[in-house]
Amino acid sequence: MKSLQNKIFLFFVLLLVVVQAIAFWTLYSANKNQEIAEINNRLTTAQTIFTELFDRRLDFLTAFAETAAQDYGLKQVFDDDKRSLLVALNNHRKRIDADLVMAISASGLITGQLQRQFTLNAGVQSKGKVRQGVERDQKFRFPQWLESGQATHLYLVDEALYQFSLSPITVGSKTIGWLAFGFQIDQRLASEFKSITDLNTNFMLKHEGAWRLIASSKANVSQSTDLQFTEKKLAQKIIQSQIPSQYIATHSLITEFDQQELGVVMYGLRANFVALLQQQWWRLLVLAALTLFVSLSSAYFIAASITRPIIRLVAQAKIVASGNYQQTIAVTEKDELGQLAQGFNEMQIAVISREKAIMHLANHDPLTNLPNRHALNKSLADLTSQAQPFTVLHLNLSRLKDVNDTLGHNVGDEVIKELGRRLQLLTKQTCFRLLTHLGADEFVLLVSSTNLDEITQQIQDVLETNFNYQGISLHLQARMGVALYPENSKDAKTLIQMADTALHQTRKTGKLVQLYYADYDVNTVERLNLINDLKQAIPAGELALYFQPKLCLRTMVVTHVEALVRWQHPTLGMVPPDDFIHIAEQTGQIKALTRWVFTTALKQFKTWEKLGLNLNIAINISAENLKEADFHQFICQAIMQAEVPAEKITLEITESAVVEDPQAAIQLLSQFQEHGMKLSIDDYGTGYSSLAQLKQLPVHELKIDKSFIQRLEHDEDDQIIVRSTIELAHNMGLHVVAEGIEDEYSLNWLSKHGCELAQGYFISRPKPAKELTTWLLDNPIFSLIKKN
Amino acid sequence: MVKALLSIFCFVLVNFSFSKISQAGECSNITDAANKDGYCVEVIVRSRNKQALAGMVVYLEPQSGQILATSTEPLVINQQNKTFSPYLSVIQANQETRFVNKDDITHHIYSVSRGNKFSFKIRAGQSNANTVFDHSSEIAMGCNIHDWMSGHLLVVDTPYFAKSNGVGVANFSNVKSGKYQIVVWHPQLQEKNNRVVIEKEINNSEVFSIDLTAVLEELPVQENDEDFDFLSDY
Repeated sequence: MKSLQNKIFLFFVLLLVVVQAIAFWTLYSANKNQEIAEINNRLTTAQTIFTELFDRRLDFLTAFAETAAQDYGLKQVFDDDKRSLLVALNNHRKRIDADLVMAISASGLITGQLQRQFTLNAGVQSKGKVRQGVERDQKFRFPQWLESGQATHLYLVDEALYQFSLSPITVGSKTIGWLAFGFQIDQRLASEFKSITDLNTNFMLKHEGAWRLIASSKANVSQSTDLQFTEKKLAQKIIQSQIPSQYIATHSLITEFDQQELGVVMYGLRANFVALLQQQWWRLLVLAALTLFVSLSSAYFIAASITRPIIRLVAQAKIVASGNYQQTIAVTEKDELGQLAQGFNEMQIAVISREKAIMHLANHDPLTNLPNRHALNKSLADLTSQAQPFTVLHLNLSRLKDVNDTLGHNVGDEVIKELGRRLQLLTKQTCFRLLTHLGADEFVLLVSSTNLDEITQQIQDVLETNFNYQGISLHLQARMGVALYPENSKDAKTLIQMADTALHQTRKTGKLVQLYYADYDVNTVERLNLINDLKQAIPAGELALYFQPKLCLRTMVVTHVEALVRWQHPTLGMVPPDDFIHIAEQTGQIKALTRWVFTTALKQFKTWEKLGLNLNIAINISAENLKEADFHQFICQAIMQAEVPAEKITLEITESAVVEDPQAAIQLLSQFQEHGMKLSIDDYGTGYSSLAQLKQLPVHELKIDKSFIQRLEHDEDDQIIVRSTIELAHNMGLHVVAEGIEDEYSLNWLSKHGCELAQGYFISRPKPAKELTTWLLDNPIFSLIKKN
Repeated sequence: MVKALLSIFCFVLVNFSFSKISQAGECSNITDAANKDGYCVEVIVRSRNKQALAGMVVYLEPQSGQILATSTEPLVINQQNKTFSPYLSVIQANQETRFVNKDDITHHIYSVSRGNKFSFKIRAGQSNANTVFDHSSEIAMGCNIHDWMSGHLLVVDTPYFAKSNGVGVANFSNVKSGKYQIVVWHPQLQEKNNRVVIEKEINNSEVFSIDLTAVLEELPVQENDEDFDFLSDY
């Protein structure tokens, strides 16, 4: 695991191991050097001690030999009888405990020789017996020693090797003989040396090129030939400087006599010597291991203590990441990590508050701070799951657009807010469950009561008071669509949709409150389908052109027809134009639709022309058509191609179409006029068009809206309006067309008042071309055509 | 080396005076021919380098039974300045020898030579009773108190003995005719028994020249090794 703690710990481990290794290595090499130095020192010391001891013995011998040689008593008996001489010699020998004493005459003859010889008794050396030497009465082997001044030598007598000192016995200047003393080089010397230096000591003698062991400090060597052999072997190796590694050793060679060589070998087991150092090593090693363990443990705890707050932070971060903001970190540390944890806590608080704000925004409308559609959906889900009946009211502020347009959007917003505030008062009552603001001026109220009258009354009550804003008094009026649970639907979404539909219906009916009925909904669904289906309608031949005749009131002859498009929907049957024209305009399909109508109408003209029916055809032009760049070109081409006289075509344009962009409309209409086509203002009287505009418009006729005509018989106001309009039109040189004639009274009234053309169910419903043709040919009343 | 030569030179000078005493005057010139009692014999001792050697003992040992007189005059060997003076002395057997201590300190004179062992202490200023050596021998003498003192006494069986003088000449007068061994002896002479022997028939006054072939060693220096004589403080 690559955690921070492990990294820190590993770093510490590495650091500590390296430091320890360096320290240990330094110590090790220092100790090793010390060991080597101590071994060297020890060996050198041993050698020095040996040399010192050896020389001391010789000096001692020499001094004594010189002293003894001066002894008068000895001189007196020197040439006398042997017994006296030997006794005297032995006396002197005893004084220094020498192992060898010799008297040599002036002629070089050994006149007396005493040797102390040791015998071994069970490994212990006896005190030694003094015997006459084997060389007595023989010539001294080294006459040159007598002549030379050197007193000290190594002397070998019958296997025994001696340190040897010669001193001349003189009478005045005359040398009458020599006196010699010797200390044997044997196990005693070796043992003594060993006791001083603690090194095994072997004496080796090289005779005729071969070494042999003459003495060893090891006690039982002289008894065992095997031991002798190994000791000799070892000593020989040491002399050749081939020291076996388990030993420390040194040697010296003394080569001063008679082609023979004395080798002194000192050695010890390295293990014995370094035992003490080894012990130190162990202590050092244990100490190092202990230090390492302690420091590693400390490192572990340090790493843990550094990372503990971080681990807590990580755990906390995970908790927060999972969405739980409630838990904070308890911080005791005041270091950076503590600060970090503190910052973390603060951040957490900030996140919580921000999330709250976001949540609030998500569930509330920013303008009124009321719950929004989200909250509505939730509440609805809750309510529907409780299966208690409740009411959904969809409210819409009336005339908000007017307020926005006239007083500005700020005021509009204030009005919306005021509405929100007022409605919110209702939610304090128990039956009002929730008020939501869906946006703009749309509100939804959920009420657990189903008493609609009471509810609407309460709503009306809160809205009753006028809203005063900056000196402006505004009346708040809301229209309401209502849906009931579970009566209308058990589905939350459907309920809202239903309330919306009901609200929509109020616009049509002009009522303030509208309960949902299933009938409203058909249109809605149909409408959605129509949008899709309309695209197919033209190529599929589902559209049909109906014609409604216009009667010339002067001649009582049908001289004009209005072309009206009908949609024979494959499943819905006949769809009225009010339902799909609007869709066509909004979805951009009006262009194709109008062109289809135009070309179809032109064809029909030609058909009637062949039958001898000379009818002017009026075609409705949408406001959208006026925005098309090539519309004028299309119309002109179509007329020319169909070879229809332009004056036989009337273009009907609604008053509102002209109102949108009067300049462009006037320019385009002027072009049509120039081309010879007739122009008519459709639905005149509903579109707020000013007389100034009317004056400029290049039209030929006004078509008074049917709403003025339908009740003409009973409504005097309508009569006044129609009469004035006819007069106005005639005064401006325009013809007048009245539509919506449903009774004879209206027809006659209009005829009497000079209206040029009349159109309505009283005369004829819109009919398909063939049917109309038949009607025109058969109808006795309007049979004037026959005359033409 | 220089020191050695110097010591020889000194010794020669000293001996020169004594040798004159012994035989001088009786045979002053070899050309005097025979005096009435015998012949004059002159022996010249020279080194290997043909240099005259002084202080060499020369004696004529009769080989043909000549009856010779005995010297009666006692020989004096002094102990003076902690030395044997003279270093080298020759006497005839049975001739008296007297040791005279001329120092202010006791000497212990001894000899361990076989057959002629003696040992006596002589107090300051005294002399011992006359000592007589009855046969020819070489006596090396020492002082048991002063180890460096060294003296030699040669006892011969002939009255014809002398030490060569400064020019290496030993004179003998009144030498009876007959066969002699002419012996040159010196303790430092590196010959067998420290001597060179020539056998000669003497019937006339004659001069013999003996050239040594062996080395004559340096004479011992009878001196204390110590740098100062602590006894002088007493």
